[in-house]
Amino acid sequence: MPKSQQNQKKLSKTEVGLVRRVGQIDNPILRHFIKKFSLNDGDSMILGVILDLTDQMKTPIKTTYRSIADSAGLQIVEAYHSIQSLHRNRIIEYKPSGDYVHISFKEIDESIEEISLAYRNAKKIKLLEEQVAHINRRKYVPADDLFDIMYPMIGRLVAAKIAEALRLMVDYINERLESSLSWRMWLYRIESFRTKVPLAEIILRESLPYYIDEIFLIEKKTSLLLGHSSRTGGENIDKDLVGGMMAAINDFIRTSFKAGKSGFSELHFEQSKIMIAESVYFYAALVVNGAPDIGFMEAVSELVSTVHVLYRRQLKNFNGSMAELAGIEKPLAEFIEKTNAPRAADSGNRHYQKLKIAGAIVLAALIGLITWKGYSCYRDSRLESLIAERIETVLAPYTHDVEVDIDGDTAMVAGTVDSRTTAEKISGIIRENGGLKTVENNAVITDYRSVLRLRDEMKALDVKLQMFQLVAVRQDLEKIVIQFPAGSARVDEAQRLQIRRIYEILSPYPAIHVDIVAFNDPTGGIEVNRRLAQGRMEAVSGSLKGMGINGDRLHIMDFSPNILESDPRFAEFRDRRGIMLFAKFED
Amino acid sequence: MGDSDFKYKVVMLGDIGVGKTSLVKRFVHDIFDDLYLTTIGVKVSKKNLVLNDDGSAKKCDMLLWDIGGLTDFNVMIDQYLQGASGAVVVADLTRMATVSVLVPLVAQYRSVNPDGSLVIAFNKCDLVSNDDFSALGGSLESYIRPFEARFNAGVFGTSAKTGENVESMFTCLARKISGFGRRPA
Repeated sequence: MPKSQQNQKKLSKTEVGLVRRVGQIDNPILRHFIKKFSLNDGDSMILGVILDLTDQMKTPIKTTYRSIADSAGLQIVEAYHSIQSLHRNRIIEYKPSGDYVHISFKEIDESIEEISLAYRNAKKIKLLEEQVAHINRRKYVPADDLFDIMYPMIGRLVAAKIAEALRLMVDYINERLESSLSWRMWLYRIESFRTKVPLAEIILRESLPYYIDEIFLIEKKTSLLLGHSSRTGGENIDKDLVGGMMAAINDFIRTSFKAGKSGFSELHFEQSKIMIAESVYFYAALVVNGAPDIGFMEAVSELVSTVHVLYRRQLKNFNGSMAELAGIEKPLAEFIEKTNAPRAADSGNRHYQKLKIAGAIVLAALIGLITWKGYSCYRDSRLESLIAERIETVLAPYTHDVEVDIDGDTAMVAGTVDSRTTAEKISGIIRENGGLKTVENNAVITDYRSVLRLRDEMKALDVKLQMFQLVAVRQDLEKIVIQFPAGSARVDEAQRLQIRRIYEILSPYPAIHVDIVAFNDPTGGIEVNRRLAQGRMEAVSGSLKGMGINGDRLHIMDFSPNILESDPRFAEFRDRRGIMLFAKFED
Repeated sequence: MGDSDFKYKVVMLGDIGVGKTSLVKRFVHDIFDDLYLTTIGVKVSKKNLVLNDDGSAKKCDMLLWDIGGLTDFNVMIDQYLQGASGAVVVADLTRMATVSVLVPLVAQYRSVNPDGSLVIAFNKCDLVSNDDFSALGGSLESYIRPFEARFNAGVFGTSAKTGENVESMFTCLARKISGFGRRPA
């Protein structure tokens, strides 16, 4: 008994299940092999499993008979025989290796794309056959009904053909335009790349903007207006009359000039045109301003088909009743809105729109740049802190005094280290952080302990110098007693000269502060002296501020009638009367 | 679509100068220039009517196709007659030759619209008197009434100038087309 017959016999137990499963297969390659080699169900199942395992013939596999059999729901021996059978049909190569088997596909003449295309076409044909069979099953189909059923399909086919022809034209224009290198062309190219719309179509759109003003749906037989929609929604003119006259003119042209009954015809006037698309029962007259683009006719045909499908029963027996056509204007309004949406804005404000888009792009770029810069600074600063912390943790004290500055992917080290080893350790620590490509280590190797010692000495000297400065300033200031006329806190020329001198003493030493103290003659009442002293001190302070001395350095002391006795600092100025300033470092 | 319940196409037929356009102008909504009559041979106007149908008011729009000088547009007339629910065929009582044209016009209309409704308007009745019909039977009424049975149509002696019977003629035609009640709302 031939092996294929053996297979059939062995498969009989699972035949029903297998047939059902094979019938469900939606794999064009598997179907191709089944058809071409008339494979039985068992072989088909095994082949399906192998196709899955090899990623649709692409990858050779190493597997076991058991694995394949389990996946197919068959016995091991059945899987073995099926693999043999597939090998004999020169579909696969196989090579046993111990418990395993190597399987790969032989090369075939057809490409996988060709097989897929053939499969898709076969499905379409099958669908068409089913539709024809459905019509055949009906005992009687009136010619009108048959045409009604077929009309949308025919319409779409015609529209598709027109669109295809126009696409070919677009391709042709594309070829011509591709050679151009003007800056505008580059703009169009960018737009084409961005929107995935062919270059030629972009150019046509840019060059030929359009929008729909009105749509009239006119019943063919009676020429009555079935529906109307307008871009502006204006109701100034009677649409029934316009529709009627439009129909009359259309009839006149048809009859007078023996025009055919083709789907489209046009009437031009100035910038507008009336484009007419016909259905079986009505025609749609579209008042279009400008030059419609490539997809327009296809879209209009689609609109006509939609209305036809929705209302064909009512239109077939139209008796003038408008109630039966309720809602017929909705698809018209939607069509106008959909078609005009991107263009209405274009038509009036095209340049403004472009400007807005350009502005938005620049703004977005700026925001992006600032954000990126801000983030970079934040990232660099954070990384610097992390590295500094790591250096302090890892390295011993008094071996380094460095600063790490990070800019992008570069780290720069400046300062001093006690040895080359320390410098290398610092570089190593920096490199531990991913993302830094370059380390510029400019740290100077030096006797670090000597540096520290010198630095401390320098600090001590600096303090001493400041003390000397303070003493010098204080001595200079103590020579000046600003005196006011009795009962006055007004700064006149005499006081201004003294304050000017104080300013000259203080201005070179911004670290030095002053206490402003008032020494008063005890004659007169305490309150009177307090107000007078306070006024004079504030006058001096105000004048100094006016000359440029920072107000934070000027400290007005509370008035005390017994200050000379109570504060030993001022003991030596017992004989003074007036405003004095005493230098000090900040508290 | 609009606020009408029904729409009908009605054609105005008749020889040149019988007063079709004048009848239409008497009461209808008109926006187009008469120039269309001489260019494409037709002008569309609209007549709004409200009819009483079993107690409820029905709004009807009659789109009146005023078909111009027939002799110049014989090629077009069949096309314009297509889909008409009704016709007003007009004759001029002052010109008997225009009455003789009624027969071929009605026949042409019937050939295109076998189920269409019809009224006959004997226009310019203001220009004639019963004495003018003494030789033909004694009165205007006795003259025009036989056409009712002959054409199975309503007949009216009308005057576009005075408005006599114009409104009632259009209402009668609308009732015939729609089948609605006999009395206007």
